[in-house]
Amino acid sequence: MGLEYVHVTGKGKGFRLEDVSFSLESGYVMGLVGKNGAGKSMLLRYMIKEKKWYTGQILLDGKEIHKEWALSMRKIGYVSEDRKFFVGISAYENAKLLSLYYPAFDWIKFEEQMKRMNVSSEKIIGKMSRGERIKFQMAFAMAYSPKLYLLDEATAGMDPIFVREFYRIVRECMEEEDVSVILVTHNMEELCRIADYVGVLEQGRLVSFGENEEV
Amino acid sequence: MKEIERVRQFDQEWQKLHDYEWVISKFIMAILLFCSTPLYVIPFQEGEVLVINVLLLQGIAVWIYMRPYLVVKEERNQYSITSVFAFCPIDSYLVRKVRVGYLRRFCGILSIVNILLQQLGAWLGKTWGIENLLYPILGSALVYACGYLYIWSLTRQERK
Repeated sequence: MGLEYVHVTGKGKGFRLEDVSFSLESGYVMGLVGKNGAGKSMLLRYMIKEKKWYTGQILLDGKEIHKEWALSMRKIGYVSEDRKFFVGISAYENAKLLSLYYPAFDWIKFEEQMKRMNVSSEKIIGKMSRGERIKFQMAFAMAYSPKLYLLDEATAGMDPIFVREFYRIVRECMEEEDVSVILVTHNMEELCRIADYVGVLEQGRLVSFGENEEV
Repeated sequence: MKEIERVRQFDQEWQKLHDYEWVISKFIMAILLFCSTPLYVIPFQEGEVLVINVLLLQGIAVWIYMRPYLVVKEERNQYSITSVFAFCPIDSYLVRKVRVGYLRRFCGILSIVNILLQQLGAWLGKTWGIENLLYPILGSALVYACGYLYIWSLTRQERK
């Protein structure tokens, strides 16, 4: 499983990407850095959005994502504060409803991960702290065994203990399954610690991409 | 399982979870239909002034019937259900197709009742004309169109 961006160009609300190309093999973590408005989150959202808003190609496992978008989405675990769940019902009820769209959803795994992350699945999503919501999202994603995780500012504003714990979970997940991770962050320190590859975005252009130490 | 079945199954689960909302909406819808549908028994020639009222009440009934399938009411805010679906691996056209299916079933039954009542009224009043056939058909079509526009407006905005 690998991810490949081939000459991806497109516009969004106040953002744009210009001719972004890179590839990421499975088993690696890629960090994306850049100033606010550089297009980091947009680069991920192009995959998540049902409609193709760009020119070029985004290939997942050699197949263009937007040719079979729904099937591709089942291989992607998107963890972000922007991701919406039903806030008036519990984590368990959310999982029960939304797991219908993920044929590979494993309930035992979900419960295990929730316990491991110390989040009650009976808790109402709207009453969860930001950290708990991110952990729930991670547990939910892990339960359907995606091949690619997109972590969009998942640890922004979190305390160092949470951040360390979160990345431990990500690393363990990578050891258990052959997955790739794209990590969007402002925190250079955590990026240096966890990423194998780093991409630097400036005004929608990928100005630098390579191994962590090189970049 | 077919993809469309997943959407239907979701709706069933969603309904179970919010059964009180469905009961309330069906109750209000029943009152509106009870107040509007019998008016179709008045032949078009004699009840022209009631047309707007009938259409308005049936239009609101459709809106109330479709609302729980499209809008999430949680705590103090409400939002389109598709804002959550936008992150799920399900094509938006399937979500719309299933909801249009519910609307079609609802409007199908409603139009048959409307047509039958209008024919009955025209037959009893001995005033039958082509307008007695066109009036319930066009009226029901208009109600369907309103429902369709409602679905379309709520399922398109979040999935871009």
